[in-house]
Amino acid sequence: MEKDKIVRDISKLIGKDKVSGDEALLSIYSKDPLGNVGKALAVVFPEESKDVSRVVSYAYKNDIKIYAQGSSTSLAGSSLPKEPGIVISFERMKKVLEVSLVNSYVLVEPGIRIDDLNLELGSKGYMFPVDPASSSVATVGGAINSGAGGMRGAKYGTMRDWVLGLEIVLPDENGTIAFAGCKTLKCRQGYDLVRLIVGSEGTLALVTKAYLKITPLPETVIVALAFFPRLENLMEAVVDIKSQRVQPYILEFLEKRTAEVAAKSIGRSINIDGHMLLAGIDVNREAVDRYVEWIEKLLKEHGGKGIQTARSWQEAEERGLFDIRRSLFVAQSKMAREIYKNVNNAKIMLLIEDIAVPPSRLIEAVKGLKELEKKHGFVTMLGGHVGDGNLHPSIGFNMLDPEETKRAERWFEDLVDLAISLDGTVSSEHGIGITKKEALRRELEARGSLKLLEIMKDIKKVFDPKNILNPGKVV
Amino acid sequence: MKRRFLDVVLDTMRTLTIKTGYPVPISRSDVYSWARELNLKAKGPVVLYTGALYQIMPYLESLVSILKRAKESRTFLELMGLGKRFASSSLVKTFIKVDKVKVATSNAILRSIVLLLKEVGVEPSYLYENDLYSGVLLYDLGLSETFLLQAKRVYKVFKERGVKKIITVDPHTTYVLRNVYPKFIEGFDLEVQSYIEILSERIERKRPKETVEVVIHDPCFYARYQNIVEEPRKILEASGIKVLEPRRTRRFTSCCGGPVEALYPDLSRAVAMDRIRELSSISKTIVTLCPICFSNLSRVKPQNVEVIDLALLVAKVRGLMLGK
Amino acid sequence: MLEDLREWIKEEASKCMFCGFCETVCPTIKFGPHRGYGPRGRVNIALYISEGGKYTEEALSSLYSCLLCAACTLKCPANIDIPEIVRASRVLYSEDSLKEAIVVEKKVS
Ligand SMILES: Cc1cc2nc3c(=O)[nH]c(=O)nc-3n(C[C@H](O)[C@H](O)[C@H](O)COP(=O)(O)OP(=O)(O)OC[C@H]3O[C@@H](n4cnc5c(N)ncnc54)[C@H](O)[C@@H]3O)c2cc1C
Ligand code: SF4
Ligand code: SF4
Repeated sequence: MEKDKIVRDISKLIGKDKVSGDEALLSIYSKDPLGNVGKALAVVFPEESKDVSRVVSYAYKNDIKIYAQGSSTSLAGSSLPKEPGIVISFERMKKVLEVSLVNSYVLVEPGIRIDDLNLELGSKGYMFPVDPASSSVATVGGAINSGAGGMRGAKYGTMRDWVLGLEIVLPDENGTIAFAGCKTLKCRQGYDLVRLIVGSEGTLALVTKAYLKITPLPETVIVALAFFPRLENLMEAVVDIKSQRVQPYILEFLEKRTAEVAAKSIGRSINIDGHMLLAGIDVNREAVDRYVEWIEKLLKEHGGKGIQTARSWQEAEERGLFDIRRSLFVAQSKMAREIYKNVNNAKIMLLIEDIAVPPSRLIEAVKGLKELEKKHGFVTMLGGHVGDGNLHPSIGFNMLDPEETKRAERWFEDLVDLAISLDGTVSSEHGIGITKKEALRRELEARGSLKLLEIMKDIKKVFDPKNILNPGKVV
Repeated sequence: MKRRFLDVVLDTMRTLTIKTGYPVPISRSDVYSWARELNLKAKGPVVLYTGALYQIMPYLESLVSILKRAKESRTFLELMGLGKRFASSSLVKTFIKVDKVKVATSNAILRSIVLLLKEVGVEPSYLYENDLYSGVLLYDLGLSETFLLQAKRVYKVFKERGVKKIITVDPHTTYVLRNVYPKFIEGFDLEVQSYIEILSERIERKRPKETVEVVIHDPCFYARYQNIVEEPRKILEASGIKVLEPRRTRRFTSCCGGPVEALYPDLSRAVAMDRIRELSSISKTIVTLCPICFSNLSRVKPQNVEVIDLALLVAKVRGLMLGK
Repeated sequence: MLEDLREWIKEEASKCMFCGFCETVCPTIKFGPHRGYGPRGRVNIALYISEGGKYTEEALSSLYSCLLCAACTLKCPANIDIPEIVRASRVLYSEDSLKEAIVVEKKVS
């Protein structure tokens, strides 16, 4: 349908301040961090569930595609309006509607950013623990739909462990508003549709409200940073920590060269004596001394160098212990830009992957990645969450160079095979989107479970018979 | 081509500056009247240059409200010949209604600055009717040609008077003179220092009779653009004033919203209210060191909160005579 | 001159990775109607214009509602000079649409 008409129609339905067809504006709702460019025909800014329902119903009747967006930080192309369609941006629906400590939940609108939610919860001594590195930007709605995870994943899991109930709008004639799940922590409501929506990347329904589980902030967290010349030693240290009945709050890893680039990119002159391990352990205040001594000794015993410890999260912040780890993304992009500095006419595309392997196989994974680097000739940046075996290898390539693009594709294919061969998975938190559809197929095939892909496709049809919600993604 | 409100505002400021040397309808005598009883020399190598930013703020507020009314009633806008003619007509002066209290406050702040400089033994000369506008708003609004024209005028005044060093009084003028002029004016060789920097080097400790506690609001153009962060704190503390820090402070300060007051008054107000809330949760006395911050935060402050310029506060607690 | 400016905007704005980190400290995005009132939006609208896009109503609100406060530059992993991109885009608008140079010349002569 003609663009101007869509804008006019939607203005009539929900108000003219809530929709725009301005070309310049559309350009910033048609992009993502990977460098993809899509084609939004209109962008809609709902302010309440009813607005969403009306627009969905209109789109259903007129066969118009709908792309939900939170902050468009998806690293799998999930939020991109790939074909012409309406973008529904949830940025104005960002209220915290209820915080209930007695019920251990918070009720929020989907457009609130995770850090803003935590600012509010923090004042009450609570937190929402899922913390993707993008948590200052990413919205709750986007995190739910991409099934996001973060540094605290090993201890607290990912989005799928923290969503109790969802108000959703279904892509049918009426834009039906439904409520899936419960407000209670325990819930056996037939098939678990909440878990199905979590990670569905806006392909099944639109989320307009969410009941999320919350948890008390730890009393305090001690933090330790160390460098290990050999990866084996680093892993032994990790195993040692775990076998002493400690489940770390965070357990992060950066490969040596990546740590160097990261430190340099934020102007830190620190001696990087090997692969970096960053551990945080939540403890009671009285136990701080004992744990600090214990972890220091343990890290030393396994050959850790340049060990630094902090007696609280705040102290670690102040002393910059997190800085290098937090700069992984900076390092990844800086490295890529550095490489192409002298190439005229380069459009750099970053591949930031999120494979996971059982932690026991991390060493093999890192070795495998080194081999891929040699084989395909891409400088690979590498960091991740050792606690849960989730790795973020990344490369940059010039998407204007066909040969290089091909090579990058082959690197990715090999990466997928590597993850599968180590009993891992191709995506642990970013989602499938458009970039990992083939990888998903390969993973299921390798497990002899291709039938499940058919079931997934059927599920998509049941929810979205006209295929208007984020078409071409996931399955 | 369709004329937008934006175009009208840009045109008005441009036309006024080209014609009068100021972006608002202010007379030259109103620019320098503050200095009347201070007996500053009219010549000398070290000059105090206000760039008129403190003085024009009350006029800017009034001009903005006229333009806003004009925007709401198209007939008025057409009547005024869409900005350009409006600006050049003498009509504009009859419409401008400046708040006398605000004018008096601006003047008192400037006088305090001079008294403070004198206290530390710095006695600058002053340009009086040649205290021209620096052009900083034009620069920020992208009116680069008009800005350049104005910058050349200003530089010429300095050169004709044999000026070697300029003492500025606000962050925007300081920035534009020190960091922007040299890029546009060949051979620019004047030393530029803000009075804040000078005071912080020379000020002596003095205990006030009663202890004063304030929260500081760093202006973006000092804290982020010029790394002037510790200087104001030093001046306040040397005067026995206890400085409290808001959540977002120093390099991480958060803007008062002032720069978009002319074009997006509602947005500007919302930003200011947000900042006021943050600041006033720390102390009911807020210290500013920029005329734009002062103006924009004052506008939205609740009754029980005071916004005061650093110079005025410090001069007061140090018992300097302000005159009337 | 103008072409140089346009090229500079294009080059600087192309560094943007669309991560949105800058939005978290921007005072205007919180109260604006859309992403265009934040640094990520401004950089990418500037890019859109430097690549030949039109100064639409929303492009202008995006660019002229910026405070030039530079808070965003503290967060940008690509070290983009966001306020300078905004200023430069305003210059382009003045020169292109308001014919700034011509008007000034006329007035002075
Ligand atoms: C620098 C950087 C670091 C990152 N680090 C991590 C990390 O550590 N862990 C991690 O998991 N991810 C990470 N990501 C990826 C991404 O930030 C997260 O997946 C995030 O949760 C996406 O949030 P968003 O608001 O940007 O969602 P968007 O990108 O806007 O959307 C994501 C998906 O959700 C859908 N969607 C959004 N809102 C709704 C809604 N209300 N209803 C239905 N569908 C909706 C979209 O259609 C899309 O499919 C990172 C990204 C960047 C740029
Ligand atoms: S300079 Fe502009 S874009 Fe950057 S934070 Fe300030 S208002 Fe936002
Ligand atoms: S922080 Fe920098 S790179 Fe990221 S979106 Fe903002 S401008 Fe772009």
